[in-house]
Amino acid sequence: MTRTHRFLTMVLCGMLTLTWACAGAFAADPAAEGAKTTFGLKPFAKKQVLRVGFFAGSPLSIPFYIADKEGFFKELNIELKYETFTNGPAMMEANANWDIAGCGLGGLLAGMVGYDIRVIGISDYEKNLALFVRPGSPLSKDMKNPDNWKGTTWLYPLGTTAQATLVAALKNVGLGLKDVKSINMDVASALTGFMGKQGDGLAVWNAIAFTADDKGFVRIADGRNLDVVAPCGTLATQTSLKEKKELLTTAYLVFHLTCQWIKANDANLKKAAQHFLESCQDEGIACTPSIAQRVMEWFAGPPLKKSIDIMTVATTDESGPYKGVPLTQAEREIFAGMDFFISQNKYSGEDKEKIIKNHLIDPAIAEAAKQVMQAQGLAAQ
Amino acid sequence: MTQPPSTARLSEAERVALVKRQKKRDKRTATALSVLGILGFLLLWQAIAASGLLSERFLASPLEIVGLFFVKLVDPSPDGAVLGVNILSSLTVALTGFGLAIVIGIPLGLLMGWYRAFDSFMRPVFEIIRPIPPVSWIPLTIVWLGIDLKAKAFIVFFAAFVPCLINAYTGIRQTNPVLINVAKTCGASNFTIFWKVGCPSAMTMVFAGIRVALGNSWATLVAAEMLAADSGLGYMIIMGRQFARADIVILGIAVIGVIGTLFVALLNVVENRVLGWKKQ
Repeated sequence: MTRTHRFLTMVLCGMLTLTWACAGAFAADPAAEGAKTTFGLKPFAKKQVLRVGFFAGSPLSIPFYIADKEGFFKELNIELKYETFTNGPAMMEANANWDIAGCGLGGLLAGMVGYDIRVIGISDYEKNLALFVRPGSPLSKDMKNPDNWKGTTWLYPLGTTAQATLVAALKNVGLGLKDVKSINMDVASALTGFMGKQGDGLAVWNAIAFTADDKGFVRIADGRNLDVVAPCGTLATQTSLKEKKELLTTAYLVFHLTCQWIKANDANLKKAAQHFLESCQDEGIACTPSIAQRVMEWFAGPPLKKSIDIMTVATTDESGPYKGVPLTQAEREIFAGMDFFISQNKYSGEDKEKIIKNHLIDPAIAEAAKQVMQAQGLAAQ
Repeated sequence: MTQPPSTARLSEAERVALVKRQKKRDKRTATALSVLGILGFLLLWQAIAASGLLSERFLASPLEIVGLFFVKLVDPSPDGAVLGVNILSSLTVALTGFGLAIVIGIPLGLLMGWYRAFDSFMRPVFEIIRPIPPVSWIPLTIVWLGIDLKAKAFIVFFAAFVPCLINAYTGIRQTNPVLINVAKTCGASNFTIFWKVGCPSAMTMVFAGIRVALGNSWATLVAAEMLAADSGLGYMIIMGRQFARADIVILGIAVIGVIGTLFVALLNVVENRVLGWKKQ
């Protein structure tokens, strides 16, 4: 090979490397593409990293995962980093490790009361809070007879919405928690114990409740027929609200637009169920395609406009404990849940005062989202 | 240079008295240092709590914990049981598991250490079981034993069983061969030597194992009560966490620590009684 040949080869190699590098750089920057994004949101010019406190095995966090897998975040130049949890209190304790998170009512209250974390949105309404008994048991035949309830042993996570569901069922027959025996167990262990013939009743939620259905246990009541409203929320830390407000607003928009996307048609619902199944498999949580499908069918994550209204529109009750006090739907529902825990001596009136005084149910992100929605003319339901 | 006081001119009785005085002084110094250590720790804790380095919701001061202790004696919130019920419930679980570990682990360790054939038979199984963390038994325990006392005691048992067995095994293996040979020369049977020479000689190690087992029992309590509970100190801690009540968590930890210390002190008394002959 002559010197000239060698020189030309080197120049060609250099040009190829440069072209590849430039192509890579442009491809990794959605903002540079100028392309349309799925929801019509404007991508960030620089890549953003959002740390998500992810509740594994529950639909309340799943729009984050679905949006990530479907590329809705990537096209906005946002990278998600997951911190996975299986219970709310642990998620709240580790709040330094996430910017935004989702959890159920128990976690929301612990987060606001214990760690000054702010609720910035309502992510789901958990209706699949179910009470199960064994086939052939007196309660399976007649759940309206108080005598069938008295002295029974119930397995469930105490201090959670499962307890509120059991209390609602007991109240319907004129009884209270003192009339039954409660054993504190996490939902997965409670099901295992119940399958091992422990206890007379089981109070569980989500995929575990569907698994209990599939195991042949009798669902005697659930959140739907007991009218238990169990709001799940999206939370943000004070630090992330200060430092990443724009990013949180975009994440809020994507989350609720994904909620719309999930319910837009059967094909999307099917895709969402597939993503839920994958997420469970990633986190080692038992799930089947049929359970994933049912979980997503029950999912009640509010669409964007509704989610904004829930957080921002205040109305006044004409009766009840909050008569005359202007409250948003989010405040009303969270306080109703908190009042139950206060009645069980789990929280105090001062804890509620703190939430009100410090505006820990915070409409700021929902209001910012509303402005973006109006400015960009987003197709919100 | 100052010379230490000479004891050469002291009578025997005076020397004994002097040694006794020195021992008493050493004991007093050690006790004072221990009390100072605890006081220092409490003062440091109080200072950190008062300084506001950590929010009072995350770190209650020792004085607040003492106050909460008295409140919790009569107030069942937030976990639904008063402190006395929680302590009794945990003691039942911990002592059942711990007691079973002593009754099963120590004889098994002594027999394995003395009888080679039994050792060869049992050791592989034990070596497989030994590294398994007690908590990992929880799912199987629910299926096998349910969720009541025996299931929780089983988890504690596994935590306490291993040190009991290992120490009994090691203790008896370290029996002085001279003593064994003397017994053999006197015509004692193998079982007599095991019972009268091996077992007493292993007792120091056995007590060390019991001490470790006791610590393990308390350490596993929270995990055992995570299995299923409606009362107990571990349960109280879990509920404190559920409702973001760091003070309840700290109280639970402190009570577990104090009860553990009381048990260790009690064990020391028993050890001094049982092994008094050896220490003399």
